[in-house]
Amino acid sequence: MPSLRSRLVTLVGWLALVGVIATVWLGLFVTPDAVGFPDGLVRLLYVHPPMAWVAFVAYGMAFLSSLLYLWPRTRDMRFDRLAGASAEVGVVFTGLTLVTGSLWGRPTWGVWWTWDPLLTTTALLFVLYLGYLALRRVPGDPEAVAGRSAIAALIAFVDVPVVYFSVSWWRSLHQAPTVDFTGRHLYVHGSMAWTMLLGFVSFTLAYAWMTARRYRLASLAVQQEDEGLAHAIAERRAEGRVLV
Amino acid sequence: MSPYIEAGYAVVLATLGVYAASLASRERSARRRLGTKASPPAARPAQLERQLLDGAGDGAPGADDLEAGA
Amino acid sequence: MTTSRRLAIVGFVIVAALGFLVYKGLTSAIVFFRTTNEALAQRAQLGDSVFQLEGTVVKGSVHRAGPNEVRFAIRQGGATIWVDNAGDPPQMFRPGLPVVVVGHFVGTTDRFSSDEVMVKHSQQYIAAHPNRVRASS
Repeated sequence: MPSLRSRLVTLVGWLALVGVIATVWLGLFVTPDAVGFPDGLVRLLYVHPPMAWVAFVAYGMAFLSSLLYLWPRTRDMRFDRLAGASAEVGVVFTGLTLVTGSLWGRPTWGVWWTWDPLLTTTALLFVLYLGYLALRRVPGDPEAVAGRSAIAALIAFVDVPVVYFSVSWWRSLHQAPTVDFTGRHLYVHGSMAWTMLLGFVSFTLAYAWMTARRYRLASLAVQQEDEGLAHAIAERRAEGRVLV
Repeated sequence: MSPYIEAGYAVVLATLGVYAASLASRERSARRRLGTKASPPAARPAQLERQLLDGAGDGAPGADDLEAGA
Repeated sequence: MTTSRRLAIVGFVIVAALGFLVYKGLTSAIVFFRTTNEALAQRAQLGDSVFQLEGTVVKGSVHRAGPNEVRFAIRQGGATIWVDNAGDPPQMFRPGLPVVVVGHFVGTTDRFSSDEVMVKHSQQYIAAHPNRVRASS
């Protein structure tokens, strides 16, 4: 009988799958074209902004768990594993933000890439968190690795608000966010808005499922190490090499 | 429909699909190595503690002694 | 290859990438473009250096100036600059939309020669046929 938690993860996974399929169907075939966007060029609207949003959520979760890990009263390796899991999923979604942005930029702006503030800081975000994931793999005492990783996660997160506000702080080619969280305004209406919302929800569920699975994988790896340790103790004892 | 848009959807679905599949298959092989089908990770610390305590009970070494012996 | 050596290589690549991106951020990204009126005000200093210029395409100004050249005027802050662009502008290009062109002033004139047009659009998306349920592909 699977635990309640693992059944919840499975449910989230199915909801994410159904939601993503519905988003793709609505986004590609049902929603109308937009004024000034021929050839269905508006349709990455339902995919590209959700990728960026999920990356922000993932890094926010990594920031929060790192903070909880560093806080003396909540110091627990589970927060370290959650931070690592969330950041890895975040890197996948940041990569997809860059690729879908490039594929969207070519036909709409006319370029695959340009050193605009939003694009540059997003590329920076990608490399910062790749660095964070690499840092997590530097061998050492687990507590020490978790500690320095948590500090790195707090530092890397500084770039997240910079990415979001770059469009209003500096001149850029990229338009302002269609979903304006600070001004609480949505610059899209009707079925386009609903499909976009569905995209945000579905890909966020996919993020939750992936992070939960990645976390479980990390827990299994720890369990395996511990069993290896217990096994080694038993073996040495059997060999009579450890003397008391 | 613009091929760029179709490519964008394809890249997203393919990448997420491959990543999800890799998570699932890595978890399966990790469980196989552990030899447990559904031992919840939460049970881990207690399990290790028990093993260490068992060891201490019959006069066997603690973790510190292991390092000296290994 | 040992783990530590692999990590050293990964670390080096990441630090190099970070350095490159910070450099790009401080040079290209902070002042991504000059507007039409700014460029004319700084005309003397700019000489024939390459920079990015922003303005709104003037309605009725777009015409073909050669087999592989499109000419149009851009306006911003009450100033107008004529642009000769090598190659066709992107699909979304149309009068009334702001563009960023990459190129330089020609000689000592106020004409601008560009080889790249980037079309800016707003964050607002308006349904072309709100009453139609299914869009044609």
